[in-house]
Amino acid sequence: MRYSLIPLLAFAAVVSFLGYFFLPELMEGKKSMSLRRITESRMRATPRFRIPALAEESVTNMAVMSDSVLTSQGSPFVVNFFASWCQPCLAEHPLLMELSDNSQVSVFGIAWRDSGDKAQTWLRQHGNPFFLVGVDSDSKAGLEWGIAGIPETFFLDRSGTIRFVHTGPLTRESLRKGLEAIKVNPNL
Amino acid sequence: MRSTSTALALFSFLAALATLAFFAASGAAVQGDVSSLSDEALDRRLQSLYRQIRCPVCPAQPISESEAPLSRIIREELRTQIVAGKSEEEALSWLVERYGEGVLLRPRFASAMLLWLAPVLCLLVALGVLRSYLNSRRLR
Repeated sequence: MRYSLIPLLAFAAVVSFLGYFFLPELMEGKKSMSLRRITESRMRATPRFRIPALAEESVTNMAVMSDSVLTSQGSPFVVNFFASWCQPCLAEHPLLMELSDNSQVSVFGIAWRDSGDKAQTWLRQHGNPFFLVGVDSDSKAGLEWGIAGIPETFFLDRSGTIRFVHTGPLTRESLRKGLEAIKVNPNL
Repeated sequence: MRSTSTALALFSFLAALATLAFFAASGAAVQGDVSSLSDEALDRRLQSLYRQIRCPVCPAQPISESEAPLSRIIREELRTQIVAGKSEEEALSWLVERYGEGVLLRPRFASAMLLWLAPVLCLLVALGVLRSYLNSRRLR
């Protein structure tokens, strides 16, 4: 009697072992385990970088963007990697324009593998939602942030810790999730 | 007589050794002098490093074989770091910190260990169960 329980316990152990690893995947649907691990490892402090900024397109006329510029805002902030050559970036652009009206959060843009002139033309044509726009022509900053493709949007809390990353064009749902992660009211 | 031939043999052996050592040393000096050879060594080091890294935008392709712009950017950055004196391990850690473990084509031991050890653990548990079952039968 005592030993007849052991196979049952062993079976339960195996099931809970597998369940621990695969249940979240089954619930979420598409996110694979390796992807989740990448996302988790990216929850870290603001990466160190320093790139030129479009002074004419910025609110404060600054010509440099760096990690200390971002964190010195003292408020939660959003960093959006875009480019003038990036078609999907147009799809999320209206949402970023909307977000720029939210007074609780600062929105920064980084033009990835793009030239300052082209980024400026693109922003004048489609509207500039950014507080400050960095130009990362050789992807130095992109490497520090771990950019693989754009658009990609990072949500950082007041202390400058990355709390949420969205790869691909922003949707209203992902924007709401990101803002909640950094304790910003999406409706303001 | 005998001691003379022993001394002669010893002398010729030492002479041969000295000649060999001289050629080996000159060969090494030549290798050190010509910079193209050390470039080749650097390239070999970099290629074996690149082969360990998955191109983040292509499925299961190392950056050594990928023409994607991001692969080129990562190659250039790692080359700069290695030339600046970083070790391969340091350069890989730098990349993993930014792109996650998934950027390594061969996962590090710790993260893959559970997967490798799972069958062994299952076997051990099964053997333990079998043993206690057999023991209980013998006692009866």
